[in-house]
Amino acid sequence: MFCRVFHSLNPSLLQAMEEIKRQFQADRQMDAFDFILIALSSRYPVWDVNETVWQVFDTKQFAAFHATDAFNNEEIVHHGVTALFIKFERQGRIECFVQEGVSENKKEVLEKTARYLKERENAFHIIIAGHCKAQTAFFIEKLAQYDIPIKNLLGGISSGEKVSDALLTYQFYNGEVVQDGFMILTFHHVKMATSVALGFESVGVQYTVSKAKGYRIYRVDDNQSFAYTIERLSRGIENFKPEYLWYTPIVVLDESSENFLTLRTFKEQTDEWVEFFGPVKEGQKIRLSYGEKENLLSADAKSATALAAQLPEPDLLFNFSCIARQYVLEEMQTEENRIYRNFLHAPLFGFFTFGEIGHDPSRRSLQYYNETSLLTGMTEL
Amino acid sequence: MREKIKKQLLHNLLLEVSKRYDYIMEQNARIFEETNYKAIHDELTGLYNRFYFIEQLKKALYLAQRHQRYGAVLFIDLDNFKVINDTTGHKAGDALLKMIAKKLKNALREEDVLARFGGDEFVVLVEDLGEDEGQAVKLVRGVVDKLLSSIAYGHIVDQKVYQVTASIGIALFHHGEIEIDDILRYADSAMYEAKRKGKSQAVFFNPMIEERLQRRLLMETSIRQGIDEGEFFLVYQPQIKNGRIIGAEALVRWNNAERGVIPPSEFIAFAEESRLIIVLGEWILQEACKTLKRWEKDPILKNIKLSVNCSAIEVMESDFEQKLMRILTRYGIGRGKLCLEITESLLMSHHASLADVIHRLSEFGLKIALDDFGTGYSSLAYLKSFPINILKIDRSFIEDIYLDRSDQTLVQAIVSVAEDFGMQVVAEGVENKEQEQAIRAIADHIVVQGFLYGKPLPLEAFETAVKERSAEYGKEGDA
Repeated sequence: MFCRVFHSLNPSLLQAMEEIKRQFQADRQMDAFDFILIALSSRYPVWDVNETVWQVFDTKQFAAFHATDAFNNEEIVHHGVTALFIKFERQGRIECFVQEGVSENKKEVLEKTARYLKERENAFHIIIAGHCKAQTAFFIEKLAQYDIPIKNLLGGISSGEKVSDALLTYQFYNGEVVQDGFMILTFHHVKMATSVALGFESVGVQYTVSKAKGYRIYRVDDNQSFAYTIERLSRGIENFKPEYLWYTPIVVLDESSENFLTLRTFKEQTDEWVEFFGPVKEGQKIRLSYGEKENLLSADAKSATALAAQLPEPDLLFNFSCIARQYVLEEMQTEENRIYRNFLHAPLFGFFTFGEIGHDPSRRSLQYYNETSLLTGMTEL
Repeated sequence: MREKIKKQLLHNLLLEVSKRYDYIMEQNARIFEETNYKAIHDELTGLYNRFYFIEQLKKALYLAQRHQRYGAVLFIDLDNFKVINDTTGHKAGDALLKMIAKKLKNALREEDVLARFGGDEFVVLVEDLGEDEGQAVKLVRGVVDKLLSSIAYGHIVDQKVYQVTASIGIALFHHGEIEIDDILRYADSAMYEAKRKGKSQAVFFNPMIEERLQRRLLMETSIRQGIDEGEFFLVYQPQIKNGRIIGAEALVRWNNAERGVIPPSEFIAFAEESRLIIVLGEWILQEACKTLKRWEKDPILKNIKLSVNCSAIEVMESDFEQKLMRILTRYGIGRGKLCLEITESLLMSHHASLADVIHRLSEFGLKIALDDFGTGYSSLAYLKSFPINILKIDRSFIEDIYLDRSDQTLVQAIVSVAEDFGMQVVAEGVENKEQEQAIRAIADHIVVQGFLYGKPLPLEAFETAVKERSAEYGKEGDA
């Protein structure tokens, strides 16, 4: 498998695509492709995406999705177009599956998706989903209950801007604009390995969530306000902004109360509740945590080492890293991908997500993550 | 800028963590305190529990022995509390227990230990009663008086006033070695003696009490065995009208394997005290129904009606009605064949709770007889409010009826009232011709019962007597 990543920051979609085409044509190492995966800013006109790609590249073998900050190797492409060109050298191929209707919680969508994944249990799947009115996390949880091959599935939630009431986190495939769903890119005849980086250290004694609904925690332990706890964290900080608390996500522990299950990033709070960027459930054990860029990068290095141990010479790397992680990495946000590439020496594509999707550390359930970096390496069989 | 924010954030985080640790420590301390409290306290009343009491009693016994000073254990049991619980429900019962616990506590010294052993049983440990037994008794009497008077006034629960009394058993301890179980048993025995003596009083333990208690326990065991081994049997005392036997009162007798025939006066009271009367009563009802079933096939005996006595304890049992219905249904006893004899005193003391039961039993075809009529308040209101079919004039009015003019007037009045209410009258205890003549002079049509017409007879003998009288006075057996 041969892969190359190109990008353009041209504010005109057509011109950006043409610029990327020129880069591709100028590239001496790659003269043809089997598939193009495109990450593009939500500022480009949604209804022109499919047509423009067809027009410029003269192919329907592509898929695209919204991403505000996408990765071209070490470089972060802000509000531009980033394209991954893939050329298989042996039997490798890509299949694409899209579904709409996630926010409506359609059983039919779940069943179709589960069937699709089960029928391709030896393949490797990358899921890129929309925000779907904050229902994607619940969809993922339910999907996991269908006994799907969870260790071969990972991905992220598209990132985009809010226009009127719509959060533009769409996917594009075969002429369709998927506004309330997801796409799954299925890689056949590849070998893959994954690793997750955290970097936040849990601190203090755990709390038990006693009242929660959706993405909100109302009470912890014996009816104590969690909002009050969070309010105390923000005391003394001038011009407080919610994202300051992205340095202190909460760690959700597994049933044994010993192991990390996922992280939840703070979104907003009132006097009654604290809202996160992912679901929290009553009875879950949580802890506060803290992390800084150095800790996160150190975790990235460990993650890359772990991946290298499984797959020393990947043909391609994907990184699905959270936007909150991007915030905490501050001026060192390009370092994450640099570390990955230093360890693994392969083209890297990905983006800063609104949430990551992958199996839990025990590989028993599918999790909706916040503030992690999911790294995947792939090589053609 | 970010560095300043992060510094403050980290500071706040550590502060929060430290507060959280403090909170956890407080929680743990509270849980420890709660667990400790629960371990030695009664959940309902907040008084100490058995465990704590026994620990304190151990110490008290040791100190009494060491310092040669008297102490006492008081066993308090509320009188008839079960009736309150059964009639008003456990919620009101619990509220009452809490109230009484508080009053008992207030009547004691700070250093006295008051515990609840469960149900309506409270125990008090009083120490330091001096070296002289007479003085100790005097001091304990003072404590007991305070305890009894503390609960003597009405207790208001849910706007209702409850009168509660208690029986108290007292066991003194001094320098001699004594086991915990023994001292508790002594106080308990003395409490039972207080109950036996009529309740609402205190009794000091003495060895005779225990002996009596042992005898009572032995009797209870014998009754239980007697029921199991079929030592009880029924005898039938004829009820006569116009010379013919029209019915019988079934009476229970006990032929004990070791002691021979034991008269009812010796075992009924024990059976009632030990509540074995419930089992015995059920057996009597079954036997009576078996007899009625047996008589159904005989053209002469089929018209004989049978009465059985019901104790207050039996009737007040919550499942009495169902039990009775089940027996009647099992033997297919027709309407009007079986009569339940209920004493006037029972009816009077449980007027409200019995009304519905008696009405339902009557609707089911049972006859109700008011036994010993005239000995209680003889309220005519009962006659109106209950479906009573038969009035049984007590033997005390019959005894001197041929001599005493006032007895004649009374019996005449009872017969007149009963007839106005459409009830049948039975005169009990007719033992001689003079009594019979005096009754006939007042009303020659009433039913009579007594030794003059026959002692209580075993079943076969009674059946023969019915047939003989039937031959003599004609076949029509009904009144």
